Amino acid sequence: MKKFGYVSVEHYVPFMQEFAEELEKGNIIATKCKTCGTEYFPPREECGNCYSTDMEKIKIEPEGTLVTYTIIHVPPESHANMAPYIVAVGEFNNGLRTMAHLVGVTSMDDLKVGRKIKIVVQKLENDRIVYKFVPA
Amino acid sequence: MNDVAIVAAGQSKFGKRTDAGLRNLAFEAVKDLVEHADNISLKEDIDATVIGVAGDEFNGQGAPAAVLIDEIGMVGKPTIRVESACATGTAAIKTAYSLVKSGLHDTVLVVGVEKMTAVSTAKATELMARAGDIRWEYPFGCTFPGFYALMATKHMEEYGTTKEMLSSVSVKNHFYGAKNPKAHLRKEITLEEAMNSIMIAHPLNLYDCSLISDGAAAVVVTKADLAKKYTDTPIYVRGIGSGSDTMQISRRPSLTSLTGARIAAQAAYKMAGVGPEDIDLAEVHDCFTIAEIIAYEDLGFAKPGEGGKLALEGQTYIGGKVAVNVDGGLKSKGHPLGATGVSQAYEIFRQLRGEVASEGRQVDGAEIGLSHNVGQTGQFVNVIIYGR
Ligand SMILES: [Zn+2]
Repeated sequence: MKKFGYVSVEHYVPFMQEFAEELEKGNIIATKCKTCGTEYFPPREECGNCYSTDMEKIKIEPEGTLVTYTIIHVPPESHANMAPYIVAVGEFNNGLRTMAHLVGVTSMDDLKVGRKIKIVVQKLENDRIVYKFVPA
Repeated sequence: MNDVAIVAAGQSKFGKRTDAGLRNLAFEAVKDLVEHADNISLKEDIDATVIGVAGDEFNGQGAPAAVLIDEIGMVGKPTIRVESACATGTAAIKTAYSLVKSGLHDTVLVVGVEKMTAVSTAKATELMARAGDIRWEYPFGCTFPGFYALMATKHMEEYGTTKEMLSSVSVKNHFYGAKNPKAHLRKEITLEEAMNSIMIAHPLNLYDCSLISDGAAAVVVTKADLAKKYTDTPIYVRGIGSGSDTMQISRRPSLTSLTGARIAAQAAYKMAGVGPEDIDLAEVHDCFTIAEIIAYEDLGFAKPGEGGKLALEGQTYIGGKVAVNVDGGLKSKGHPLGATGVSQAYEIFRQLRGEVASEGRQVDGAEIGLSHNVGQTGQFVNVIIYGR
């Protein structure tokens, strides 16, 4: 069973399992409400706007922009051996934003807010999988 | 709008209280209230209690209100436990206000308390990181400072806010915290020290972050008709406003303002019939220095983007445009989650009654005080305006 992210604490629901399996195929999935058109990324199974559960999958295009970032020097217990790492917010598909690690940074220019980034899939150890940002 | 009053207040010493558990902290705050109350008997006059505790994991006690009401001698009277993350304290006061205003109870004792230092800093960081979305944010190891650092980076980029501006907030809050005998870290710091301490979550360093503290605070809330029976100098709840925000910080259109705080401030000002220019002192939720700068803007003390300048110019010291966090704030006084919002009321209660002069931080002639209490990263916000 594939799991999303470096760590998780919640019970793993089928929806998340499916999301992780799509990631393994290279697909980063968002959802769109068929009733009212609201788009969700990270994806949701339910629409909090109109209370429909009739959702369709849409794909996230890999090219996006860096909205903001931080460099975590003092990590939570669960990430004890990983610091320092960069946590960033990226925007994709003209307005859908999510959080992820930003990797492959080699210069201050790579950390410029508003610069182009790509969202990519990376397999981790222990059957885990995650999406990441890299400078484009 | 002067229907509900606060007639007594108390607070424990904040700090790393290895000598005290959750129950002892609550007792200390209530004892302080009793010793400073003008004319009130808790046994006879209190009709119900509201207990604010944010987290069970920090201290290990399940259903903490039960042990606390027993400890403070309130067994038999109705009680309720309230939780709204770091905004738990004001949520408890708001609950008491509602109970009194509805007529269900006449006089209510509010106690906000947290015991946070029994776990390691790494564990506390972990527990607070879980206040981010455990499905989509926690898996990336974004800490609580990390969330506010994301806002700081954006604020600096968009408005040119500088590290020096952030550090100025810390210097001010330590300046006043050093004068507050109940503060956790009573130590003045220089701008240079503040700017050069160890990095926690870039661009926020150690002196940009509030403390992990133990502590408690208590107030008595009653009907205005009864207030003068308990004290000659009550303070009144003039306005309350609240707001909320998205769980995931990435879903917000703005990362330089807390939408919930703007909604809360607007509602509180409207109810009180006052504006930002009328506020003599403000207790704002400076869990991080950037949070105080954003609070200046959300509360209307500065225009969007100009909060940093207000801090740099020293306009939020006593004698400036508006005195902010002159008890040391969360930064220096400390931030025991459930106690913080009640401690803000405690400070305003004493300031409006002119009781802080001996500590060298009295806002002379203060008539109106504002409390701004933020849960998580703005998912819960309460703004309460108090007047004499
Ligand atoms: Zn919908």
